[in-house]
Amino acid sequence: MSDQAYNPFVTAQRQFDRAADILGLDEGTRELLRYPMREYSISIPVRMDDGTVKVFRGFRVQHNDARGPSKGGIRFHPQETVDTVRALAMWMTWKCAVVDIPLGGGKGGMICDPHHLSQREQEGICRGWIRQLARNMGPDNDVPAPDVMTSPQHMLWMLDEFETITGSRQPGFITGKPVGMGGSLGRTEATGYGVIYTLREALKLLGVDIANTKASVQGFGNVAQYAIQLYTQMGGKVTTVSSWNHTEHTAYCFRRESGLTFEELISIADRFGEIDKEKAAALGMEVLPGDVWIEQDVDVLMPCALENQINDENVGRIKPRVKVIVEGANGPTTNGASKVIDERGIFVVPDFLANAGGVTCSYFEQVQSNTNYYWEKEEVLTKLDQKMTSAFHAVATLSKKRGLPMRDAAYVIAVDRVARACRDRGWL
Amino acid sequence: MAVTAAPPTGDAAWRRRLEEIRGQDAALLATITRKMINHLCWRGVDEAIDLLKAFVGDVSVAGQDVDQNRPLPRHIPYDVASHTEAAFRIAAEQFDGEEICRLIATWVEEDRAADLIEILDLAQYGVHEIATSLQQFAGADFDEAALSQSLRRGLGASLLRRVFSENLAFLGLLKDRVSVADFADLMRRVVHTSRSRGKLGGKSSGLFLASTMLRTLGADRPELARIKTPKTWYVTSDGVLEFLRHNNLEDVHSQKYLDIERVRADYPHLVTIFKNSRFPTELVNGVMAALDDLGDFPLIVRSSSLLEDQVGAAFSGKYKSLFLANRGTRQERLSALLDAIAEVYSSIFGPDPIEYRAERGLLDVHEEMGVMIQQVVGVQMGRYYLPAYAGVAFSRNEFRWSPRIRREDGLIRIVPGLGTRAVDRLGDDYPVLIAPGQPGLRVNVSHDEIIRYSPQKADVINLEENRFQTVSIHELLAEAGYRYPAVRSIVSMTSGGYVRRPVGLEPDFGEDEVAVTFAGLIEDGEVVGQIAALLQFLEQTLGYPVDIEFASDGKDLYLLQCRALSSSLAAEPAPIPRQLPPERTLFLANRYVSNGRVPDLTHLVYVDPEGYANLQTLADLKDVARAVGRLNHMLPRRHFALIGPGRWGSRGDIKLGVSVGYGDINNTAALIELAWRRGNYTPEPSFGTHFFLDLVEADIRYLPIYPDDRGALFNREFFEQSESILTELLPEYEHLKDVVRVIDVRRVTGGQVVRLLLNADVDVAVALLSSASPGHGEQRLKPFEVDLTSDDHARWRRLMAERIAETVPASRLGVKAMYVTGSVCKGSAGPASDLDLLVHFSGTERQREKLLTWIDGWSRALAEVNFLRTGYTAEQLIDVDFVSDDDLAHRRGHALLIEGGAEFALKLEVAAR
Repeated sequence: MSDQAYNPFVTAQRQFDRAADILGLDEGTRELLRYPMREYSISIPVRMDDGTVKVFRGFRVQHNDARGPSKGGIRFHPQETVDTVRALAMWMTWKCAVVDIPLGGGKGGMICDPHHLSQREQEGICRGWIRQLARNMGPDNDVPAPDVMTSPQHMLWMLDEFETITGSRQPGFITGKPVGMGGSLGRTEATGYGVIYTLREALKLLGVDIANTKASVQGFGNVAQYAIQLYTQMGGKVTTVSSWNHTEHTAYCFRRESGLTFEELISIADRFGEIDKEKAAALGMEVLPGDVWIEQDVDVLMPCALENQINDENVGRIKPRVKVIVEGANGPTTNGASKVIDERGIFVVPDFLANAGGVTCSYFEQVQSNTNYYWEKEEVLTKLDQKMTSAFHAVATLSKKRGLPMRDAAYVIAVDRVARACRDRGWL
Repeated sequence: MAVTAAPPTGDAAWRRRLEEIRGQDAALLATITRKMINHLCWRGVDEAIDLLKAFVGDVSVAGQDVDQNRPLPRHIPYDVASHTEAAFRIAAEQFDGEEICRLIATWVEEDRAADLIEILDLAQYGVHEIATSLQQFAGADFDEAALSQSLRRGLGASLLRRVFSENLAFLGLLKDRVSVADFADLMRRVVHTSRSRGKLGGKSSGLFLASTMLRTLGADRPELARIKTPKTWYVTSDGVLEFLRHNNLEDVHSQKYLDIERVRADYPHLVTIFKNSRFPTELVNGVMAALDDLGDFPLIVRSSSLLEDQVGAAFSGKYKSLFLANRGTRQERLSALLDAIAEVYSSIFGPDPIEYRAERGLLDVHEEMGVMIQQVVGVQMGRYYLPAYAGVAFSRNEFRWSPRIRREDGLIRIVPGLGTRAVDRLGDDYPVLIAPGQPGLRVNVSHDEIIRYSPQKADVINLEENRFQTVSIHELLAEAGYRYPAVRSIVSMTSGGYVRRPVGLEPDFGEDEVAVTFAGLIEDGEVVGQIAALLQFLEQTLGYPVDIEFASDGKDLYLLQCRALSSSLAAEPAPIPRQLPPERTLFLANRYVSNGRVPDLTHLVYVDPEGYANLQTLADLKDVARAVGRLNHMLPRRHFALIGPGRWGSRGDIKLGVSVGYGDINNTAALIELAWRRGNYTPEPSFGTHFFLDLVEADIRYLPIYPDDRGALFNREFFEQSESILTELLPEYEHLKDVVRVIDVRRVTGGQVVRLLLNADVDVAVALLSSASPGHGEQRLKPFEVDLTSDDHARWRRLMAERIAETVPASRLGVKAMYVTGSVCKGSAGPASDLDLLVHFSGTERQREKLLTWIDGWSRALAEVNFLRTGYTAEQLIDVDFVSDDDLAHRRGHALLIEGGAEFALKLEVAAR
């Protein structure tokens, strides 16, 4: 592999360097935060179904736990590299910090492809992973969760192994558990609702009544669905939503100027969020090409689908009326488009902040599991609202005070909080 | 069992039996006497030899003084009674009473069997006589076990030959395992006319073969012994001829020779005519009897044609099968059933089977169609009738989604409801795939994959509306709930972000989210184990890989069909040339190869692994996927291949492969993954797992190449140096011009295309530059036009025939003309086909010998060339026949071929030397 190749860890370090420059961090702090604090590399022998033994390799990276136990998923990936895991662990540190939850950042990976493994073999890997790392993890120091190619089933095997080793019940060791097995209510709604809590605050800041706004939403997956539900409950009007058509391998936009309701959209969508074209037309919706969501005459754009959806090519099509872009998806805006948007003075709630409802809810799950007391959904969502609202205002205030774009402000505030924790502990 | 039932009290018993026979049947007594004398002679009893002489007159025994070329004189026996006394007196000295009893019993039964043997062996007797004769035997306590083994075997073979098939392998497998009683039972369920000479056809033979093997060899294995077959009636294959004759429709026989477009245009009318025609009374009565016996179960009417039997599995599935709800009054049910039979008959003349036959030179083969009327396996759920699950299974797996799956692990395609949705590729839905040898390795593992690729629909019979119907499986489950048999083995719970088997009170149908996964069947292992055992058993006992259809009512597993594995789903292995011309070989892969061929790739999209790895930004990496997606819609559908590093469709880490979605690749003919060692690691190919089922259903070939492997080849220079047209097609992606290379093969090679040949038998796949597939109507071939490595087997054989004709010293060897006939003439020659030459010869015997020697040289040389091309071995390739002036004058023998015109015998230019 050549040195100049794309390396996510290098990218993550560059992002950090930028925030560090703005903050004027000293060399020691930079050195500490540019690299993980701890890395574990493990080998797991597994007895395969055919009787042979195969050894699987894995990693756990704890980037920084100055603010609390490391938190981050475990990925099963055939070509997992330690650099990918390092980058993802660092991002987790910032993500927890931006919403100000007392957790650090971590990530784990197993080099394996579940497509080539039976359930029993996968269980062997999960239990083996915990046997190797149980002494270095736990509810008080490192808390895993499901990630790429891992499911709540894998987490339950891991939890069971951990509890067997420690001889105790410790549901707070892992998050992403099913409800009834230590999971939290409100998880399904958390990310989408979080998007709208921050949007509501952004509009307040701009002096706009949410009930008088219109929005165009890209995507109709889990995040978009709950964002639409809460936004319309608050009186907002969604005029356009786009959805991917799996049969035709293309997206369509569905528009009705008088507004679309969450209930009618759900009633004509399948469980993957694909909206039925014919049924939509029958309900009086216009069926339009998939890329027109961006050129709607609305106050709010919510890209809630994929990366790089607002780019140099289409950023010019954003209508003058648009006041806020709230990024429900990860990385929906390219760097180039981001500059244009900032220049036009459109208020952006960056992905990092807008979609932090998910990790916040994981934190709530952990809190509930540790106390073995589970909240009603309303309580979860109320606490989520409080967390997101205060996180938003902290970022917005910094943005205003320092004249930083919201995206930079979010990054800077996260790095600042972690750096401060390290300093307060006397590490630096 | 009149004789053996008598108490074996030694002498008294056989004497009593002999007296009985004497009193009842003098002819039988004579037969038994003669057999006893013969028997004693074979045992070498001298006294008996004397007796034999007396019995048959003055003829030397044991062939001693018999003139070999003169027939023996025949003697009519006289005074049997005195010989009987003598013979049995000698016998009583040689054998004990029990042995004599047994001998008498055997001969009595053999005598009775003689009638049946005669009926079976004489062509003048038809199905009716066979059936009647069998019923008589069955009715008369016929003791088959008493017959000698050789006679039983002969009877078995004769019955099989008359009723099912003359295929030698078929006869060889079954002749020792069938009994007259089996056939007596079977023939009760055969509908035929009094003059029928038909057979039951290929599908019936296949099922009979498999079920007989299970019943005999599989009897002591509980998992096999439990497998059932549905109750079935048969209509003999010539029923269709009777039907045509009865309605004066014989002229449709020539339909097959019409232009295919005409056949296509005429077909709908033909179906209407068939469905409005009457059946001969005998058939109507027979079908009525079938209906009464089958009851009001839904039925399936399946074709079972003679071609299916002769040509084998490749031909099956070309004709119709129809489902009937079988509800209503007796008369309504009868007319619906007859209607269905007429429609199945009409499919003989359908455009698809005719086109298929024309392409393979099978038009002239006589075709008849038997019909199977089978109870549909299933249960009633409200207004629907359906099996709990059904599907097809193959003893070889051609669709491996993991390197851990071996070919011999087999493959099951299983669906809820009728198996129709598993038999064919579906455009809008997916069956569940299981490798029975490694059931733990699933195609889909993540929550999303499992749900997205789970079956969404089921085929059912709607009893109220009397029709076949496709319904949403989720609506059906919500409606049927626990009435759906074995439902907890079929569905999984999918809420909470993971997929798990239902426990306790789950699932709450209509409330809980479920998906059809068959996880219970897979994990409990019983049914999957049963199918695995069945596949292995059938492949072992029959000696070839098999393809079966199965269904279950939730309690029992039923075998519905069994044939040699070669269905449309599992492509045939492409012959791989032994000598690959290096300058024209683009790559050779030798791991995890499936079967198939892509004859004419005009474009190759090559994502350079090094270039891709060196891309510096995420945006560039993503642009590669976008560029591929654009190309997918610009390049000619199914005429281009995508070749790229690592894992196509990589989602987690984009560096492992181009992160396309299925929509970005769905028009490609082949998806090829390069696992090039880079530094200290080799990227692991995905095996298409990200959209495996989509690839299978769309028939897109998947191939991993490990260029660093011993024996593997990858012509980097061609892929990296050939001119790329990326910037012509997509100027906006110029920045990727060193990463994504689009090669217009015809442009860079002066008109050639790439032929991709995949052969799982030898685990080799090659891509070769070749001349484009020939068009029609070409005349004289030129050597440089013929690609010896091409897999157009007829084309080079014809070229060789032309070369032979050009070089033969015609006048010296008495050759007047030469023709090419057979499969080469028809253009249907395969890799193992002979080259049939017909010589118009007028020379002497000595000239003929010289000519044969001369041709023999060619023949051996061509056989060797063919071996190098295809790997098929044979000592000789040419099959030569002669035709004389006399033959031509009297229009006999091969002269008829010449008269038939160029379609049957293509004249070659013989050099006038």
